[in-house]
Amino acid sequence: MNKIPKEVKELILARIDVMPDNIKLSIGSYGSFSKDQLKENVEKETDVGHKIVEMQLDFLKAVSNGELYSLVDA
Amino acid sequence: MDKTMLITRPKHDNLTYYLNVWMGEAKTFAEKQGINVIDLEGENANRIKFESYVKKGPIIKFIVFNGHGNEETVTGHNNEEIVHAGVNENLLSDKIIYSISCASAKTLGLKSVENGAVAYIGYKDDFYLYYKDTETKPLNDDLAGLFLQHAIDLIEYIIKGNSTGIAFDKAKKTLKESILATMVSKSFSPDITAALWHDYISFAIEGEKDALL
Repeated sequence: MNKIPKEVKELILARIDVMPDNIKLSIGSYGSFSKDQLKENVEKETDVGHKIVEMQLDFLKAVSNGELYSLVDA
Repeated sequence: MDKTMLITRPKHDNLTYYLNVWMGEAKTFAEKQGINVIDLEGENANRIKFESYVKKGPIIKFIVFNGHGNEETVTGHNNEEIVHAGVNENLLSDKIIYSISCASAKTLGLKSVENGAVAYIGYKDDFYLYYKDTETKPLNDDLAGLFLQHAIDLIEYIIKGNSTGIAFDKAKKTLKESILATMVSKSFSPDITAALWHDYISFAIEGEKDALL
């Protein structure tokens, strides 16, 4: 797996940081993760960390290319 | 002739426990609609029981898998494989399948349809679910509901007589509405919208879109 660029990592960690403390994210068979665990996985660039980054980047791309906002019109 | 639906509902970890409870609502709906439901719950969500019912039980027209998986497999209790592409997907022949498990629509779904499954609805990537860690009653968890309501809706639409394609489109619309709700509400952080978007774009249907239960 490619190394996560520093600025991307910082962006994703900042986005995770606004997550409430009382919720968890279940990612398939990888398990369930708290906010701190998500940040740790991103920091350590684990498989889970890469999945989180990929999910967030796919979303940001959908925002920037208008794909997400097409849902409003559909 | 009575229609029969088989549903697997393991509950060995957080995700499967949530699916077990939420899809229990779909099971109850099916029973109230007069559908004969074979409920492989907890430890009963295993390959031996599944194969036994499919091979020897009443003719099953609709199967709902809840659990984990990957591109080639769906699993049950303790992540034991129930169906694996290239091994026993022929058991899904002549049936409508809905699989709430990671990525199985990508390969298992295609292989199942090639081997006679009527339609296979599922996800082409890992299934993401946000939930409230402090909520003791999963059905009261409105955050999880954003991710799971479309699954209940899909099952209900099929049972009510909608075609697989129409049911899929309506369920996808439910997921879309969840996304839009999080975009306009201050109650939800942006990563929740991102996870819903992920599930929305991986939600997929293979096979016949005009099939009826």
